[in-house]
Amino acid sequence: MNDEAKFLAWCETLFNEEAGSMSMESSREDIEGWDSMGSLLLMADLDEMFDIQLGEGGLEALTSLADLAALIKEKGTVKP
Amino acid sequence: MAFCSTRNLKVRGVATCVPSKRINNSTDIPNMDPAELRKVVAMAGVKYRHVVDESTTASDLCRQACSELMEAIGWDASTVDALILVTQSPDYFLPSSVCLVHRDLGFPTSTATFDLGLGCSGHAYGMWLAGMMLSSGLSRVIVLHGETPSLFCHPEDHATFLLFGDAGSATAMERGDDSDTAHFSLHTDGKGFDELIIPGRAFRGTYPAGSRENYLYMKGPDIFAFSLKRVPEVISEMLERTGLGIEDIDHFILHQSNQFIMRHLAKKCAIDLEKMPIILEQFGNVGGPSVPLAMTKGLPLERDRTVRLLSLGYGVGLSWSCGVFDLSPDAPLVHSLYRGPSENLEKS
Repeated sequence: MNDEAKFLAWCETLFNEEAGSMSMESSREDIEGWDSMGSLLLMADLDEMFDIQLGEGGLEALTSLADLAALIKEKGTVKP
Repeated sequence: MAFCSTRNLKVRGVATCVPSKRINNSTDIPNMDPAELRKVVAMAGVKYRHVVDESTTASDLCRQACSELMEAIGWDASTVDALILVTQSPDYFLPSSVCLVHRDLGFPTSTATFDLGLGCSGHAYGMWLAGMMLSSGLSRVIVLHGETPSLFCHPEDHATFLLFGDAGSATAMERGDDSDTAHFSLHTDGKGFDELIIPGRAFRGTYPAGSRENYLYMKGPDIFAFSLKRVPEVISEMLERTGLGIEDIDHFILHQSNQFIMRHLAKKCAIDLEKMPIILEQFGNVGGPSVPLAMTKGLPLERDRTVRLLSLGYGVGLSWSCGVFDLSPDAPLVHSLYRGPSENLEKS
């Protein structure tokens, strides 16, 4: 499984979506599970897995999975 | 930096009081999609909430807690030098709500009495203030902390409506000796004032009755981001300044905000959940009084030694506070259901 496939599989689990249903082009509006609770789950995973703490208002800047992937690539530190 | 250590602060006991009316989030919420309901309840960890009726206020709950605590520790109202009510659920704009408790429980005119307008961070702030008063020569201070956030929540805002319950509390403190040391760290970030706010009902904004602006707005993700940043910071600061380690703290008493958030914070701060009571399931988030409520409902009532507590409140303001203090085995932890006004009023 390549990095993109791993990323999408993580997103599908996180937002409780069907396996294979997401692509890098999926927008926030397209993802039913990316609601207020999904946002909390995302923030917790970003903190725990990548040591990324979204600042206040930082969540609004993420409008798609591509944005999310770019954030992780830019700021993420994978914890051991 | 608002960090201080104070001597002479001895906690004599803690009491809490919740309304007798209990809401079952799983069965008592009409007109809500069952799947969404299950999801919200599971994440917040709130199965039941005790909520006030229209005739009961935060000061009523505090009055009963105060009355029961004074009885448990054998204090007469005439011996109390100061009475502080921490609340953002006042009876009136004026006078201070605590004046009603002062009247009803027969405190003397020599008792200094005032309200303190803080929410989720209020308990440690109140204890710090009491500690300063004891250090300056007073002998006995009672800090009341009560909120009725269930009344702030708009019925269609499920993120808040299903989360909040109501409670009142009383914490009695007296002048101890030099070994009775307590530590406090107090913080504020006013830039986040609108992340948890009721825009209406006061002088900055007036809106028609029933308007959404008269109810609570909560920016959940921003509050979570704030918690993720500030809670670990203030715990680290407290441990560093006091020279204590995580292992030196017997119990971590955190504001009961939301089960998901609390568990994440515990993991992030390497706090053993065995040391951190979570009482959300039975009471919901009752605002700042969740700290004393977690003490009366989450700590062992019988203790064979003095335990060291770290209390931590975080939320509206934005404001956050942390306290470290001891609780001796003879300090009672009392909890009751509100019985109505008649049993609490002083017989005159």
